[in-house]
Amino acid sequence: MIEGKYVNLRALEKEDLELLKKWRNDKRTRTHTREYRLLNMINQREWFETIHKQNPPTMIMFGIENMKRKLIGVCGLTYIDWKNRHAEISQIMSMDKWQRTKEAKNTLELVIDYGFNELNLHRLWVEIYDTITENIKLYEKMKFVKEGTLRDRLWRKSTWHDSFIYSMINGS
Amino acid sequence: MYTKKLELKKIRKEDLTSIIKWRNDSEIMKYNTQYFLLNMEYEEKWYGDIIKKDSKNKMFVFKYGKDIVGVGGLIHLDNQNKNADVAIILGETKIHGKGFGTKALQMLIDYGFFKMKLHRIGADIFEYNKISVKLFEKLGFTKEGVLNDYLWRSGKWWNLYKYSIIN
Repeated sequence: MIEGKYVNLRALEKEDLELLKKWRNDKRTRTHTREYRLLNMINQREWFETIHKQNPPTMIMFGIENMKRKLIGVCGLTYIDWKNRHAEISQIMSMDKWQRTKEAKNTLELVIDYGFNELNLHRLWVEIYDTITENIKLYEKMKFVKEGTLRDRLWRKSTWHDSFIYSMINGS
Repeated sequence: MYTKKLELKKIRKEDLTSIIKWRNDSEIMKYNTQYFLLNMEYEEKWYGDIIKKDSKNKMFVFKYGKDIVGVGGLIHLDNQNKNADVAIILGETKIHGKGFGTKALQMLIDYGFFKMKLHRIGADIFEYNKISVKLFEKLGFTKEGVLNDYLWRSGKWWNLYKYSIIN
């Protein structure tokens, strides 16, 4: 258990997958993740099994619990590159407008602390689609630096969208 | 008051829930090399390994009265050289500070030397784990060396101490 002020991070169990599927297939979530398919339990189980096959892992995921011990989201580090010491941050929460909550901010603080201070990563990054201003606000509040704009990175709703790369370097 | 005996018992599958709880406790993780949180998937895989006859890890739970209070054993078994390392977690904090650590470690040393006929038992201790340093030295372990900046934790490099006891 990784303890924070407003949330705790715990290990994900197989029993959580049903809820995770629901969140990932949510209309709002789908506008800001790379996933364009609707996921079923087979996709979820495959994803879960892949995590456990790798050593060292390229993905470390946690369940986010609020102080009432209710699962309110999932987060972690993906695309972990142990040689170049970078990883992407991933986070989905169940509440409406979760990006504005203190739980979301606290989760990010814990993931950043874990990435830098426990895993000794050098760079944490995130790709955000231009359609999702809430995430841009959240990461700018967390002092991530905008590194670039990937033009026409995404085809959604019959039009092209840009995506932004944000990052944080350890110790800067 | 503490008249019941601490016993070494074979691990049963239903013990895994307690073992996960202990191993994911931030106060315990601090002193172990584990760097991510374990779930039932990992634990069942681990259990599948330790119950094999040729497993390199001989693991037990510590039982006190009706309850299991910790997990430990001899790991990284090297039969050729009669070497192994000792690992020990007393998960239930209510039994801390009552001499159970000494008893538990002594039982594992005895098991290693007398049942497994080991020649050497090693232990890796992080420099900030003062309680383990005291405990292992008390039971006759010798500090063999210091691995400098071996460990990255809480944003800093830490040394690792190599300890061993020879039969």
